[in-house]
Amino acid sequence: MTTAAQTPTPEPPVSKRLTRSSGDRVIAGVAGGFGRYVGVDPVVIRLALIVLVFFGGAGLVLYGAAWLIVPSDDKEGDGSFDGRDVARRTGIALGILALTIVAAAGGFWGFATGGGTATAIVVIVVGAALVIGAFTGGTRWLIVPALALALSAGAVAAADLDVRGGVGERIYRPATGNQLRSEYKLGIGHLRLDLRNTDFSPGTHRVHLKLGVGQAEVLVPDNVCVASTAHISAGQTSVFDHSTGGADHDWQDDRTAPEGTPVLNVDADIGFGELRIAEQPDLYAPGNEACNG
Amino acid sequence: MAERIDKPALVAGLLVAAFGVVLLLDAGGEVDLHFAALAPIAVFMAGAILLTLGLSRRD
Repeated sequence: MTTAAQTPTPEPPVSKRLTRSSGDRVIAGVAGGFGRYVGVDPVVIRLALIVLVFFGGAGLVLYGAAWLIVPSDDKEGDGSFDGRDVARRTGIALGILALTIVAAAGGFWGFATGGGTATAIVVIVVGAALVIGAFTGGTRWLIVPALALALSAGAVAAADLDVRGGVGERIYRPATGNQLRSEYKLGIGHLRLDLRNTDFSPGTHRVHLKLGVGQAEVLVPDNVCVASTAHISAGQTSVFDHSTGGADHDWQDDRTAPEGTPVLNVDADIGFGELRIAEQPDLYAPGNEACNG
Repeated sequence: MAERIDKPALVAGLLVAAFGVVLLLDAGGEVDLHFAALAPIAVFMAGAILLTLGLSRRD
């Protein structure tokens, strides 16, 4: 009787497959599976996806696509294609995505059209529904739409955004400084106050611009000294050749003028966008030569 | 029944409702919400919910 040498049989190579994790999942196990695949903590993947949600919704698109395409690890070995399961997941993903978009739009418009109190109450009610659902079960899907509703309303509240001034392009060309209105208002769009051919009398002229989203542009003649102040929730100020911006951005440019020179005081309140003061459209050049310096 | 509480939904609901109160105060002019406050609030809400999700899986 001979004994054959026992040679260890090499383990068959294990194919590393990208699958959704059934054991480490929040919604569909996409981040858990991808984190396991690349060797990164799934929390990092989730945070990255959340950040991407705020960049055009890329996080939602990526997550939804992965949910549809990547198989779950609890079905490994079953090579069958379950069309009904894919259809069900597609329906759920699209439903949550649609609800999230509607909620975000609702929060935005609710607050931006003056319904801040009603929108806030809706946010509280949705929060309460989540709390109640925590005890009855089955409402976890509501977390993302609820956050979208609350945070979009919060962004509008922080921006003091008011779109009731209308939407589109508004161009005003008053003939004289006395015809200048005290306030020009636009909800969303391009507000241009073209004063290049306006006849200004000596003295101080004041104008207030209120814009929700977009660009407020003031074109001024070179014989007028322009002083300006602005509050911009998020965006920038471009005054002649000077440009600055950011979130919760305040601008102040005090000027004095020689005796007999007209002074224009521009005060702007802008939600998201830009205040631009220049002598010509699309020209970022030094100006305000009429001022004392 | 206490064992069946969906903690992430509970935390998310409480945070959303609390944020709704802040929005209500802002709409009433009692507080003035700015981006400087909104950004950390948003990150806190997302972080708290993720943390609860992670911890709830360990239970």
